[in-house]
Amino acid sequence: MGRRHGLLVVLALIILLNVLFTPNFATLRNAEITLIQVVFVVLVGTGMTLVIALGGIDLSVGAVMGLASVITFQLLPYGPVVVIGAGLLTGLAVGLSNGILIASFGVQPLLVTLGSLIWVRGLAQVLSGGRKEYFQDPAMAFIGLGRVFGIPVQVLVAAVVALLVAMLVARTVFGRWLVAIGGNPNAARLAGLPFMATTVTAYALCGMLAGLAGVFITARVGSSDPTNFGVLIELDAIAAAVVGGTALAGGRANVLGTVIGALMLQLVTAAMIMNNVSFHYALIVKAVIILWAVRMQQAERS
Amino acid sequence: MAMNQLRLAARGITKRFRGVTALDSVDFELLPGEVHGLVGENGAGKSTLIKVLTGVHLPDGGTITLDGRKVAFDAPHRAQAAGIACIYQEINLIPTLTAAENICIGSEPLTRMGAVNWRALQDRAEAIMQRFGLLIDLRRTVGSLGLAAQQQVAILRALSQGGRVLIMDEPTSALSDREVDQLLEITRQISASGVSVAYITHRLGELFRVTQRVTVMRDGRRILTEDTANLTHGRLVEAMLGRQDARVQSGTRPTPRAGGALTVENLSCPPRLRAATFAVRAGEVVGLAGLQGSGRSETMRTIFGADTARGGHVSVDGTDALPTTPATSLRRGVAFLPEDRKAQGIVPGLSLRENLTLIVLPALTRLGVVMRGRERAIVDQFIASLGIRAASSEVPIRDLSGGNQQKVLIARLLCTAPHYLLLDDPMRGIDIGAKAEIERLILELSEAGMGVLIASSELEEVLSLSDRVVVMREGRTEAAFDRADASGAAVMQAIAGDGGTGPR
Repeated sequence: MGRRHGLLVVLALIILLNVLFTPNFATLRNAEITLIQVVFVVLVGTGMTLVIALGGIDLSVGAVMGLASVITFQLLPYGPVVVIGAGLLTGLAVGLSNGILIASFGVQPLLVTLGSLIWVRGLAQVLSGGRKEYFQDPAMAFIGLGRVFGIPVQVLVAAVVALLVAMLVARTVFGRWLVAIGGNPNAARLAGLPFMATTVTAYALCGMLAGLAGVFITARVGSSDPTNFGVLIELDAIAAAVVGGTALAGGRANVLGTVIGALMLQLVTAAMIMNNVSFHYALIVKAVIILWAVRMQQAERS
Repeated sequence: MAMNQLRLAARGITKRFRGVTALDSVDFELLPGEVHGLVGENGAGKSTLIKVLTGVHLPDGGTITLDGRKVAFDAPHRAQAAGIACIYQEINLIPTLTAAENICIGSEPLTRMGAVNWRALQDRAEAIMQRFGLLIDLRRTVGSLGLAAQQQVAILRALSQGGRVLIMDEPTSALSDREVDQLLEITRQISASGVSVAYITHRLGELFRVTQRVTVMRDGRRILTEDTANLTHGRLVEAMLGRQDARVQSGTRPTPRAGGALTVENLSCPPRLRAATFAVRAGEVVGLAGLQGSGRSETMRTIFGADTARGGHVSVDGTDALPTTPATSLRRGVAFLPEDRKAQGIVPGLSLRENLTLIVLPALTRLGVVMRGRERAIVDQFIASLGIRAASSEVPIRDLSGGNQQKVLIARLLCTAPHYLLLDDPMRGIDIGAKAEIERLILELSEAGMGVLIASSELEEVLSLSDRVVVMREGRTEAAFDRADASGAAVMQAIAGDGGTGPR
């Protein structure tokens, strides 16, 4: 909890600096744009938080977005429910396969999900012939650009999802098992905790959230893109989680921290752009923030 | 003996860590070409002494001389450069490189252009190998070699730098009998070539086979240094454990109630557990005595399913209990407290409450959601009944003292209402007050019908708590004593084995 307060302070500072120095920052429109842009990293980052807390990692989330996008496009005629369901199932399937390989066969998460990254992208290319496909669909338009009570649908969903996963971690037995196994796998084993079930569930959830992100980006952009959707988002998700206080070593899951981390990184990037700083400098600043966050974690540990 | 005739002379070595004195003015010396045994239970200070000699720690006091010259090592590589090498239980080699490459690692012969001279490297490795009469295929990768061969490569690497002192830290703990014979022979050859060997082991028999002198440490002090020829098993054990006159506490204990039993028959889990046979009846406290490395922990871990048994039977209240896993054992009513609570007990990032309820949490949930009220009720109940001292149930468990952490871990097991408790050295590293409280708890639990198996090196503790004492030696259960017959002397003799009068 203390960690989160520190983060909120930094976030407030970033916002304050922007209000003072960035033109056009302190507008409702800008706030909305920020929130909209951060939806994908929040969704993927939330799932990534679970997997990192377990002591693992999932590099395939971006590829899952691409695959979900392709499958979404194929199933457009069947309506939004089927589309969303298919996106979730796609992510679930990949997540299950990741989780089973890691838990049953003991293969390193880095290797398994690196492999998934490759074959899932490949599958997306095969299914779509490598093509981007544009479409017009009112239901998808609503999912992508619509509002509920004036709040963009995607922002609302992302907020609800983050909240639900945060509660999953804090209040359920699964959440306790997750951080216990990540925090001391030996002790967890001696306590008889279900390693296989917990691992598979965590990776499955991570995949599902990536699938949802894939549906969302397809709806927002109005096209399916097997090649570009989700590229490098795994790095942003990991960065958001780490900055947010979820240690890469495992044992901690700070979902709300991940959300704040995503916001921070997004604001910094946007601030650079709005102040006409080159995009590349923005990347450097982002990297510095990530390093600083990791350093703080190390200091905390010792 | 004049100082300059010694290969290594460490005098008055003292080392303190945050208020704890790990080494208290310890003397240790090595003659040229000597094999000198170093023994002591865990916590005696052996590892700290080794770390001082190999440059990992700087001593707070004392001097070290090497071949008459005073030395001080502020980093491990300086000790290595000076000729002090060490091989450990864990093989620190690179499994993907060949044996020859590992032997020459860090000092590979180079060609004029600066590249590695592979021919010369191979030759050098061969030469060292032949010097000590070994036979290894140097072209194979270390990872593909068996454990004994890997160890030989580690030894050759240690010696290839012109080592004058070789420290061997429990080299035989994972070897078969034949490999042990081989290693002892290699050790003799090494010492014959003039290298001094410090040989650390828990297996007393090996001392009589290969060492010229033995030093015993206990509680951070050197207790004795003596020619091996003048030593007996009994005298060694007495020096290591320190008590000859532990008496059974007066006062009778209620006889164990009728009920089931946890029976163990010829249980084996190589290499450390060879054959364990004994029983723990309901309501009985059985003490598992023996030196470190005698197989006590392995016995408990194998019964519990943390390690997989290779042979033998275990039955819990009449039902066959092998093969098993930790989860299954807990369901059957067998609970295990590991020796190393930091590495295998506590989840350091979680709170007291979360650690306490870790095993039993599913019973405190509805539809997967934890019922906070119920959880807190159980936690408060145990905090009260075990006297756990903490600011609140939400403090991170790593902030608690060792004794309180141990109580939380015991509470974690008690939540499962076990029939049999396996406690591996539960009093290690906890203060006197907590020790007394845990002892009382064990007695209460056994009076309530729980069967308790408690492993410890502290004879006094074992004798005062136990209805029966089972002694283990070198992986086997050797003897069993009823409370009435268990005197300190008798148990010590059993621990030492029948080598009462000299070499095995």
